[in-house]
Amino acid sequence: MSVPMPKPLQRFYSLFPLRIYDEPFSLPTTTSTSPFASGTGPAHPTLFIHPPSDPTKSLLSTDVECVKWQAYLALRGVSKSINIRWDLSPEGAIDQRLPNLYLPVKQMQNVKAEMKGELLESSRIPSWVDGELGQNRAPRGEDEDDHILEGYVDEDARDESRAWVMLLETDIDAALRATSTNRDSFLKRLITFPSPMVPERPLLTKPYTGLSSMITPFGSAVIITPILERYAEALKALSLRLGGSRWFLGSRGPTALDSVAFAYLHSALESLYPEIREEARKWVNLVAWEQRVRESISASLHH
Amino acid sequence: MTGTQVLDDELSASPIEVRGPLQSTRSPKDGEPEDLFAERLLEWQKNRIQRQMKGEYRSQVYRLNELIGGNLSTPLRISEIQIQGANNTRPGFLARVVKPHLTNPDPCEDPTLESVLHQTRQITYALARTDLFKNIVPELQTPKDPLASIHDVDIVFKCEERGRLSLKSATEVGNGDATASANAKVRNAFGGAEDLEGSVSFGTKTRHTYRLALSAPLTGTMLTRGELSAYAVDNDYHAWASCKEGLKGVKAAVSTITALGQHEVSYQAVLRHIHSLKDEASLSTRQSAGTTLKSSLNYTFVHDTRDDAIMGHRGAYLKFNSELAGLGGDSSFAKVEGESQISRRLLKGLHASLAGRAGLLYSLDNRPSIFSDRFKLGGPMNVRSFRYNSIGPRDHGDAVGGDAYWAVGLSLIGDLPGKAHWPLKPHVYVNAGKLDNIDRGRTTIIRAAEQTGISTIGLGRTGINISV
Repeated sequence: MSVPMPKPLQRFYSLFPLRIYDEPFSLPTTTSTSPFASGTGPAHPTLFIHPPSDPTKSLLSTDVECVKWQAYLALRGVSKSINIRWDLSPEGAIDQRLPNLYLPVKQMQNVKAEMKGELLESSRIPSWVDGELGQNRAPRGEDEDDHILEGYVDEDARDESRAWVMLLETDIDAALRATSTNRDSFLKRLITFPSPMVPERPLLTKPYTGLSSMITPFGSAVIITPILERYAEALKALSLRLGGSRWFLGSRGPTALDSVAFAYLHSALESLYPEIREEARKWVNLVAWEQRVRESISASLHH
Repeated sequence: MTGTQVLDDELSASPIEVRGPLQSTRSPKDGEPEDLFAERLLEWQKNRIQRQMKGEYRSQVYRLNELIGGNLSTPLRISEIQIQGANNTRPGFLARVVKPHLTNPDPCEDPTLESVLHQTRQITYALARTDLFKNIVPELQTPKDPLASIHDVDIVFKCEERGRLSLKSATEVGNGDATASANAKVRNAFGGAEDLEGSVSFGTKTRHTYRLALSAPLTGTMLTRGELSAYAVDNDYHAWASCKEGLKGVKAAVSTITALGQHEVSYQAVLRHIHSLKDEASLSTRQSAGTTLKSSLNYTFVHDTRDDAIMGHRGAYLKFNSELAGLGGDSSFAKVEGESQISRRLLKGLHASLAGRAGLLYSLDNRPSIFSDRFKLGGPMNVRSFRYNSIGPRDHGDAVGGDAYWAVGLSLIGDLPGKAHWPLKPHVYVNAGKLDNIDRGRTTIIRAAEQTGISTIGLGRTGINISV
């Protein structure tokens, strides 16, 4: 229950008015930004990703999820107006997951907009892209039917794409996570803070410590063989389905499946785990396809 | 008339009072009360005993003073020093404390009773400064060494050690925060006046704090101490910055006391973790999220000669702190901060207090300063009547901190009329302050002066408070 301030005190306080100065907000500049950005000012959307391994060579992130959305934006033709930055920690991202897309203050003509910059989680990126493309022009090779079919040749292909995405995000994703070298030592775990985003553990794992141990279970002694077997089968199926087509499922243009497939193939070919890398390189058409799409995407990112 | 008849006549002429057994045969002297069992009698007896003892004590002291005063120039030399009762203290540590006081202050003259008494007093003070003993009684004794001369004397310090383990728990409510804490301390942990202290606290703003510290004297004078500590803190900033901050750090410090004041030089390495952001957190707060490491050297100087912090009559308080970060880690800056306060009596029962503080943070690389390193301003501890840490640059309602600030406060505190002994005091105050960022496009001095200059009329607040 609040007590109202006495009127004499209100009159006295009115002699010292409180002013709040509203400055136009702009992202502070850092060195963790793409060197080829056309500008870091408030006029350009910014995609926050996990850092690339070598920004001077490639702006593709080391994280599969970020590569997916980088590929999606590039293949849909909107990445030229987007800056890439990697100075946002996953803990600062919405739902603690990168990538996030920052939209600048929209400055309308002769009107200072009230709306400040908005940060979008990855699930809202497609609707933003649709809005951007709908405001400007329809991308080449697409018509309204393509938009309903999401770029696939027919409904069956669109439905089939869901299955392929599921395959990529289970078997291949499991193999990449199980073989990732991000294993912290016990000492490092003691002095650092726990990561809020616990990566999904692949199946068939066991911790280093027993359930009856006084030490909190940590680490993971992964049983890798069955995971690699399923990974190899998934790659084989992917290669057979791609064949010699320009895009997956015979689509006329790039689709969401192509973005997802590129992300996982790129991560597999760049993996530090030899078996993952060698298994992916067995499939020539996949390697060629990945290289072609990567060149296209990189050209878009290095605008 | 026969003899028997004479006796009978005498008896009948002067009747004798016959008393039964156990009758009182007292003849009181010296003002002794009549009633044997009265409380006055007991009290009188007690007072008489005390008078006698006091008289004996006075006469003994008088005789001792005469004895000492008349023999101050008697040649006397300390042959041995014993410290009894210090069972948990290392002999080497005690030797380090005592040794500086064994040298003859005047080498040209032979030691006398007077110099021995002075040395005894200094050694007693030195042992008291260790804070290990609750009772120290020095005695001059005849030397036990058969080879000692007649001018030799042993000094025996009979000590009673303090308890080594202390446990304390407390609950505190104030400054918008409520905390419950527990503290355990081991005094003289390793026999050299080391203190090993551990504390745990839980609260509303400071979610939890864990601290373990080991401190030990580095010199025999006990004026210089070293400390190693490790801590983990979790602060809740949801109310003003939509996030939480976790800290894990270690600190090594050396502090000493000189005629100017207290000095401390320390090195600190601390991991800061901004986490648990609210959904509506601003982009500035989101960009601050994650883990950063600060590795820094710190110097703090405190000069405090006040007789009272709030209602003082003399003295002043001055504190200066400087920090240099960049010895590895993510932070690289130079930070200075100063604080001063003075309090004087204006009239009987009315005191005025003037306090001021300012700080400057300068980033040594070209990157913006980190949220955890920036100054925050506002709240009952600096600028009253402003929400906690709410002054300065903001982004969507989140305070982001600043690189430079100043704050001043003038207070009048007095006694309630006729109730000077009450702890309840009326308090009138005026506070003002500003927090801002540094424009790195201009020279350091000019931009720091301009950006913290007097453009803050309107950011000040006044208030009337009743405080205890």
